Amino acid sequence: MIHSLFLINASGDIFLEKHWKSVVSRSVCDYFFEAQERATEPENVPPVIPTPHHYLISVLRHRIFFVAVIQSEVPPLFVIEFLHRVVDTFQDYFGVCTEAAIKDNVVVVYELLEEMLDNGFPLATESNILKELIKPPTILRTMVNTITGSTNVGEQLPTGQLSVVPWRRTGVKYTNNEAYFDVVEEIDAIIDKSGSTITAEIQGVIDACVKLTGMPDLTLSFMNPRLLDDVSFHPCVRFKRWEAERILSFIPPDGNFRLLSYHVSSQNLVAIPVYVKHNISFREGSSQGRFDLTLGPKQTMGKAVESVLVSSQLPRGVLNANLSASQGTYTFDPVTKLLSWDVGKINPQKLPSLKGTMSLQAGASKPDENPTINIQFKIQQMAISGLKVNRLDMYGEKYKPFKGIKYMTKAGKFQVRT
Amino acid sequence: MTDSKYFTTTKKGEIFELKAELNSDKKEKKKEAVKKVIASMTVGKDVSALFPDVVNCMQTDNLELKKLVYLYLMNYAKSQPDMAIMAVNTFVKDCEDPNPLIRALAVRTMGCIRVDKITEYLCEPLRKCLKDEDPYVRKTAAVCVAKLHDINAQLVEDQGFLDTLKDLISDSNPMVVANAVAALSEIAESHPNSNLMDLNPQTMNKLLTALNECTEWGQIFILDCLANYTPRDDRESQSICERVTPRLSHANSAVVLSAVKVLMKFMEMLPKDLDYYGTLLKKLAPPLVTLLSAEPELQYVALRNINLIVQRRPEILKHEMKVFYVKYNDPIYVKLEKLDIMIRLASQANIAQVLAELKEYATEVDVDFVRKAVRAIGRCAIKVEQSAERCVSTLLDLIQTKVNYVVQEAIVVIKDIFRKYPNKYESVIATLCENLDSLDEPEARAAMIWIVGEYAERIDNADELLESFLEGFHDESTQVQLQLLTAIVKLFLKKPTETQELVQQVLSLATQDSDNPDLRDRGYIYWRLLSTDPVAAKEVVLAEKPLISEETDLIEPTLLEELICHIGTLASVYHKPPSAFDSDNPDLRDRGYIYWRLLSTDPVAAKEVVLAEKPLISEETDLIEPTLLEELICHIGTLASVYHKPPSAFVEGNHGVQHKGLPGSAGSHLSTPKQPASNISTMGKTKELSTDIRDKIVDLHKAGMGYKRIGKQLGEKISTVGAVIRKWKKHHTTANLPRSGPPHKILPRGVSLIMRTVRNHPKTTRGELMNQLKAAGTTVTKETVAKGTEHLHRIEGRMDGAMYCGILDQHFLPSVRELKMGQGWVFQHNNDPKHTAKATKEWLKKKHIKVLEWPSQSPNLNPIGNLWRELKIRVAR
Repeated sequence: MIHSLFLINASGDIFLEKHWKSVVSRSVCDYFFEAQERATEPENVPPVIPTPHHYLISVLRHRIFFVAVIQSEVPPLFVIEFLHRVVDTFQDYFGVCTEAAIKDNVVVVYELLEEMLDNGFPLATESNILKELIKPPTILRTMVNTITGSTNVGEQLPTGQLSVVPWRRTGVKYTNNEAYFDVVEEIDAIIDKSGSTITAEIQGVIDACVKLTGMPDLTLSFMNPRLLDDVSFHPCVRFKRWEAERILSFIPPDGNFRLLSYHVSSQNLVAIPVYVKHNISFREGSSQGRFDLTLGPKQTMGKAVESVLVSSQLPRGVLNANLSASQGTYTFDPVTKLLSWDVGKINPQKLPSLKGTMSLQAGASKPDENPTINIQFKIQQMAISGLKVNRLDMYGEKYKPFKGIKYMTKAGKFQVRT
Repeated sequence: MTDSKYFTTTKKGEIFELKAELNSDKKEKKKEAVKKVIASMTVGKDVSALFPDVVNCMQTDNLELKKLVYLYLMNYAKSQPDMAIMAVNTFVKDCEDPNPLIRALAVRTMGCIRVDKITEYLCEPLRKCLKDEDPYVRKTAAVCVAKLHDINAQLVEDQGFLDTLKDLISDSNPMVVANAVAALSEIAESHPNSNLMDLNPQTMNKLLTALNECTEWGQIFILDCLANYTPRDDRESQSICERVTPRLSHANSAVVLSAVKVLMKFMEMLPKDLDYYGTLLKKLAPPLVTLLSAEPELQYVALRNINLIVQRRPEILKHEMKVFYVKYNDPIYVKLEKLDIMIRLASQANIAQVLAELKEYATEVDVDFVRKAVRAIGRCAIKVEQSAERCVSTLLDLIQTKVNYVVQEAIVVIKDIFRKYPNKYESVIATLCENLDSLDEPEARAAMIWIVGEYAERIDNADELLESFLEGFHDESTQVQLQLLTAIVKLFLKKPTETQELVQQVLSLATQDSDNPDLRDRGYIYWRLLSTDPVAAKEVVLAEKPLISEETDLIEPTLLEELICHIGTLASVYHKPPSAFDSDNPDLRDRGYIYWRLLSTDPVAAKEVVLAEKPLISEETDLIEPTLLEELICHIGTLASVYHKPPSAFVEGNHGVQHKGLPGSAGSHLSTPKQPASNISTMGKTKELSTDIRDKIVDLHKAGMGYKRIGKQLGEKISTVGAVIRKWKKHHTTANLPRSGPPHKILPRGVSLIMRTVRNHPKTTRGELMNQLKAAGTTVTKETVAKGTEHLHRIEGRMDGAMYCGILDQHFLPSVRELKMGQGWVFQHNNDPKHTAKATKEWLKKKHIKVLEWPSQSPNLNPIGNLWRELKIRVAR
């Protein structure tokens, strides 16, 4: 099981360590530092590193390496999932997961880590339960605590931890009963030079914020549930009913949670909401290169494409880029060679474009590689897969809740090859 | 208002201050002080001196303070065992507290205090907690048994905790079941043979019920445990599969992968014609695909496992090629794994898209990735025969890009394609030859030379090309030198008239000017082959040409039978890739001897045998051995699956640590310094100046300092300083220059004279040669001309001890005399049965021959062994 945890910041300092069994010397991290040195980018550090007596499993989040030390055979995914859970919990508690935030709340962090893992076995990782055990720090609570001398550790055994619905506590009360659902889809795609789609897939999630009194039992049905290729549910969803009727039936946890995540793969036809016309070329023997990029919407069902951000890693030989943008602003970092163009909203009548020249090192040969263009965007009020929620019903409680649903499409790893 | 203020405790005075605060009457102050102590502890500061004061704070009804004190206790109890005893009473009392949270906390913390004295007191409270009415306490207690077992295994067994734990598998609460399973699995790991997890259909049923209701982590423990079960029949495996399948829809990827493991294992037992089998296959693909859209770390582990799954059951993912396409900002470790899987999934149906993708990757920035992509194209060609032509043209396109490392990599893979499909794609040779000058990596140069040598008859200017390589012969790496030697010999055999000079040149370079024994030995054997029997040479060297098929049937059946009798393991070696060949391998040595015997008795038969065996490159050389693969499939999702090693390798590794390492000092085993091998070699000789110092000397000299001042500053002798600077002035380097070695007795001209004479008049005696040389101005003895080889004897029939003695008597002793070796030599031969036969031993003893003691299975120490190895590799190719 998980033996120890080390948190390492971007400059390579171990700023927190926690041991659940015997103490493992910090020097194990030397193997990690070696691997880090070999990998040029922090992203390229391999997640599983063997050392003579231990295995180091690490994740990189918010520029902090979370390195778990393992001594015996443990499923690596178990460890990685747990580390992700640690990061999520920190973010949940402190708003951000940074070195400063962790250091500011080091005692809470310690209490949390102690509560999340016992002898290397996960104990309580649900944010609802953790929050009952250890109250998140807020300015108000800190002030109240100082005045009244009370603590931020719960006195009672959290009810949820043992009830039949471990994810929900009893006795929840709200004056306004509301349930909101956000359908958020990310589209991952690779588009080739000529504009045809090589792969496209959609990762979708339904995040919920449910604030309902008592023990409500909800059902959520879709207009077109067959769209979904692979679904993963929150433990609260009754799997049998989904198998039989394609209906989500569940007693929701209190507050924010992820009800469902799904995957629509390239086997189905995936609509691509933007197109790119590009002409990035270098001529042999010339120290100038042409750069010409135009963006346009397609298949967006009349919805606006917003928050568009285009970035591209230009070849190393490029010294500078002298471009003009028809809208938005662009920056080029001559050190990292990263070109990024903040476009904003695409106006279908006047398509945004970025045109100009790139200057190359004098006498250098034509760059070999073709830059890939990375695009980020958002489309409100539309789920690109076409998924639609049919209705939401509540049983088990008498009041009428307020219900709401929102759709959004975002670009995930959306890449255009040139 | 934040905790960062606690980090200010650094000075010694602070400890005293804290001490005072800890003993304060005010609760609030106490708590603040404990917090400060914990904060210092987290950053690795030693606050153990405060132990008694912190323990004093333990008796409180404030839960937070209690927790903090517990945290402290766990950390420092080890260093203060006597003090820790003071806390025992409070623990025991807390284990009886009406609040289950406190009971659980107490038993949990007690288990974490790894002090023997405390464990004695732990047993009673633990026994009570294992039977507590509250499931939260029971599940905490279950884990505590595992903790106690880690500290004192005997105690756990004596107290019967293991049985109690087994009973908990039948607990009514799924969370308790899951923790009991987890604790038992951990205990079982340190007792590999104990039958702790006794799985029968009843317990299986309980586990499967608990599986649906427990936490995600509990599901992982239970699934991993299920995977160890062997179902009685296919009905049972189907029902288990049906109950596990819903786990594929879990949000936690570790649960998904553990479920995949269970399903892959139990599928084995299902009949393939069952409808359910097909359904299950279909259900496995989507969750695996979804894993690939997770964070890169998860992707990596998933990909390593998918790599196994596609080898075992390629049908699961055969339609999902696209999800393995590489995104340009994937981390490199994900890219390389994806590429590997793409090749495994490549088939005639999807090869066109795969090639287009691979071609795209070959223009990326990351050099390692590009190289692997180019190799992948070659592997596709070898794997999918129909695509070979398209692959070759893709490679040609890539060569046209003229990107240096792409071209080199492409040439290496084209060589492999030639070997798999001989005489099919020679038309591309011309294009390859254009890029000759840009090759600077040994592997690419060697590949190009191989191609030129192999197809010498079709390349008009093959001799010019090879000659151009020959110019810098001594600067080449061994790999290139060896390949060049062979290629020129091939060329000579194919076009004997125009290339005599060339072959002579390369032979003399290889045998006389080289200090590499491999190269020299190979040179000698070619030389001897060429000078004694050019026809046989042609047969041996050019034997690689595959003109076979029907001829295989012509092998004399008895000979074939004998061959097979002698090398029982031939088949297994056969399947291995050529790169795995190694002279340490006894199978290979035996095979080598057989080749040798064949060649020396009956070259024609030898040719037939050898040609019959010519191994085409196997499709996928890096396939995992079937048995290992099977074992790994049963361990999907584990560490073993990431490293593709048998799981036993891991158990052993940590076993040692568990027993060796004292708790708290496990880290100290990490770096055992290696003993310095020996420093005898440096004795009695002044140490060579490091390049660093030499560079420094030159730098100081450049800065205008005199020899004397430099010497003083660096503590070196003036003469040394002078020598370094003079060398730098002359050669512009401070590195060691190549050593000259003893002067050649015979000048190159003399060598060519000898060669010419021997070739034209093979019967020339040494005396005549000596006289000829004398006439040319060089006086040498007969021995210098002849030196180098002893007698080569051809063996007829099977050799036994007596025959061996005869050979030694007739050839070996005369050789020794002829070479004028005197008395200071040692005879070496390996432990072949005839070498160790009684007759042989007696003969050696009688003749007072010093024999080198030969450890069993040791690699060949005799330099000639390298030559034999070279011969068999050449012949096998």
